[in-house]
Amino acid sequence: MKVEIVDWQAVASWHWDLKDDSITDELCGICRVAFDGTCPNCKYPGNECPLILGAGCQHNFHLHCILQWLEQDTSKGLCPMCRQVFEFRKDFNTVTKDINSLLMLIDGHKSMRDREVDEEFDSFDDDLRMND
Amino acid sequence: MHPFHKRLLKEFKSLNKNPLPSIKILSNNENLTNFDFEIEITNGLYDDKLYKLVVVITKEYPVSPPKAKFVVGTREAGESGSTGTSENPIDVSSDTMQSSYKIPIHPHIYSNGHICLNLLGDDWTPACTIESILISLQSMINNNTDMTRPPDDNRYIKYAGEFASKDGFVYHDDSV
Amino acid sequence: MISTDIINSIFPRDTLNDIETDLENDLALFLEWISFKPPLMDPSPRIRVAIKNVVNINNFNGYLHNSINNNFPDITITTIDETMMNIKQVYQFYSDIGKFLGLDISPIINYKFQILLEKPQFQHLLITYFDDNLLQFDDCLSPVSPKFNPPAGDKGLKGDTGDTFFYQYLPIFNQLNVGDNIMKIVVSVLIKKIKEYILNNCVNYELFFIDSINQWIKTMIYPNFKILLRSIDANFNYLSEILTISHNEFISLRINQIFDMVKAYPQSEPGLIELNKCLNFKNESHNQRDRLVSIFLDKIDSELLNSGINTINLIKMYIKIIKSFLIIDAKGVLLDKVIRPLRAYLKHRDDIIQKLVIGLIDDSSSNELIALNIELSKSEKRKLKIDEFSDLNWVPDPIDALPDFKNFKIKDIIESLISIFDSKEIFINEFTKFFGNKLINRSDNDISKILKLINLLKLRFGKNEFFNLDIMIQDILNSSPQLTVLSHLYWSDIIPESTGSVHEELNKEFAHFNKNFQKKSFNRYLKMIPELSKVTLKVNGKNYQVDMHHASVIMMFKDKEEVGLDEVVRELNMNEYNAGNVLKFWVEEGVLLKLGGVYVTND
Repeated sequence: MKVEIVDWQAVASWHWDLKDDSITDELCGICRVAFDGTCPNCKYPGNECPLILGAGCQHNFHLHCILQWLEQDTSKGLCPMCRQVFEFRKDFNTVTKDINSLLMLIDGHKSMRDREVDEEFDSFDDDLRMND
Repeated sequence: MHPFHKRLLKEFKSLNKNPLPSIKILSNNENLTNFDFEIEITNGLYDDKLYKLVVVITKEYPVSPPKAKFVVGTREAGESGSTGTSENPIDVSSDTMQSSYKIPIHPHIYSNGHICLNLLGDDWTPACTIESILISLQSMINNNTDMTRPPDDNRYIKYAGEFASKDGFVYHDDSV
Repeated sequence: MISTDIINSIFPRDTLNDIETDLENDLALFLEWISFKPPLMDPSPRIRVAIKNVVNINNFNGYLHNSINNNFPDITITTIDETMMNIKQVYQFYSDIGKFLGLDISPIINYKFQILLEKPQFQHLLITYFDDNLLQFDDCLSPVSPKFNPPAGDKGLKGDTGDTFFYQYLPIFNQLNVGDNIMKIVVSVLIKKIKEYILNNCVNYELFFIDSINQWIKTMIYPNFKILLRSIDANFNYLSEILTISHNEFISLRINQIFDMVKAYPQSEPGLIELNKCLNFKNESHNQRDRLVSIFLDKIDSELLNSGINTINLIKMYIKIIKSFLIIDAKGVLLDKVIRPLRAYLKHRDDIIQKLVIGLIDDSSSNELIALNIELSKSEKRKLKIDEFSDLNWVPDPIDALPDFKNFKIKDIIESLISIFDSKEIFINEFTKFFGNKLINRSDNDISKILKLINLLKLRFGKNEFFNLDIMIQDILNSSPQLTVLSHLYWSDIIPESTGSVHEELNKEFAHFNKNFQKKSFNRYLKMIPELSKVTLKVNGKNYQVDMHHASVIMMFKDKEEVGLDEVVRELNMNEYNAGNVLKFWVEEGVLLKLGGVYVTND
């Protein structure tokens, strides 16, 4: 029998492609809203309210939420959920002003951490020298 | 309305639906940014069993931690709250005659009610919740064996503001 | 009531008959003379002597008083004329006695006449007399002075009625000094006449009456009234009081009709306008307002607040109450009082929100509550809500306003309905659901209409209240006729449960959409919602627009001639009932044939 598709009036829902089928929680840990929904800063979900996928620890957040967190010095650049150093997957997002801000923040935190370690070593060396 | 109102609402609903044992909500404001809790302590070292905790949600929550402190006050017997389940109804007979709240004695709690807790300062992340703060505080007091105030209590309360600030004090010995 | 007569009968006081005196003969003659046989006989010389002797008896006046009292004639009350003539006769008799004795006899006998006057039969007589004649005094010239003495024998005035009253009855009343009593009777007749006039003529609240009432009073009632009462009290000048009485009667009538008037709005507007006018007249007290409220509340309770009235009619009545009572009292104080029970009642109707939402949104002629939709479209022209503190025209609330009276909330119909509920959220949710369905099933010009409506609603409920709906609209605006993409979290009420899966062929075709989408929406993908999607298929040369389940089922027959029901159920994850219905459709279209549990192509 001849059955041809002539026209569509399709209705579909969009979803973020999280590239991992075993997502255990679908909520952003900072605002507790689902990823497919808006973060508190945005009016519309989708391209303008993108996600950031954690690279090392695999925790995901709304871009704006994680930005707010990392802008705090006390965050120390750590993931809010597991306190590991936070890195994100660059292949998931197009480059935007916000993404660049995020990169800068993360680099900033990294420098702070490196400096702390250097300082610790310096004072350790000082201690050693003092005991000579 | 708080920017993260949805999250506050979720936390509030959860506190109501699954109340913590021995922790009651005494009151809260419409915006869900101010709460009064009553915490019950089982530690035998304490004469009073009930303490009142004020929790304030700042504009920066959940990126910044809530502010919390103990307060003094008079207690109304049988205040409405959310403890008590069908298996463990509120036992009216053991509803103590405690008529007022005092500041609990603890090496990390100043006499003005300010609290020295890592979770309320540097160790706070948005993964924590109001609930986790309450549980930590309760546990902190329940497990306490040293019935003293912090060593710098007198000096501290002279210069303290309304709430503890993050840089206000040095963290004490965490073995308590 | 205990009268002197009764007391006398129990404890009789001494009369002239009882005293012992050596003037026995004189006394006998005197008593004979004063016994009532009108007209009074001119005393003969012998009687004059007797009189002269008798008046010197100690305490003569007292005994005389008692004697007359005990022997006072019974005046039977028959017709007014007869009775008045009797009275006149009796009065004349004793008055003449008084003349001869040189005494003022009136204190003794006026009292007796007053008793007579107060007898219900006599009152009734007078009332009937005035009732019949009140409107006819106008015909005669009016004598103004209370001491008017008619010229003897001169009857040069026209009008029998006035004649009789002014020349015959009035002088008698004056002599008896009963002017006040008469006045009272006349006034009661007046009020009766006014009541009758109003009840007989002014019942129809679809017409205006105040002017005609005023006219009637001024031309018919008042002139007669004035004539009558000026003859008794020269200072009589009570036009405004009489007008007030008539307006009060009119208000009473309208107040009794208030529930029907509200029901009959807008035809009853004249009645409502006049009620407002009357309640604002200078002499108006708050009692009428209170009465109005309490009568209306009673009626509402007994006739409206029961389960026999459907919600739409309740809402209609709500609107009518607002409009009617704002005519009666533009400040809204009365409205505020009467609307509260209905508000409390409406809150608990299950379908109230739904009905209100549809009423507001539906602009077709089948909307029974189209008035709401019309109100909504006026939203743009509404003045900004003026804060009470910055309003230069502010005046204090009237004294009978309830303590929590809120001026601005009362008068706007939509605001009033919304404020029945504690939060706007229930409305917003209902709107969102309603529009969601409309948006999904939209046709081309629907969208701009929907946007217009939503803007009007935002003016009413707040720009920022419709978060969900804003996202839903954005979704639709970003969609094409061929493909609608939804942010699923915000359509959760609209997206139904899955009732089956989609045929591979269709999914393959859909994949093109997905690829396109992924190109412009980095890292997002699409999931088809079969239950809301439609596709146009050409089957055996004919076009069918069907949903995905119908399409999937018929697609199974593209490469196979025979498919069983159970196969359909298995392959497409449908339940038997649904699968059966879908297959039935294709059979009815003549595309398939049913052979027991197996279906075959019909080509």
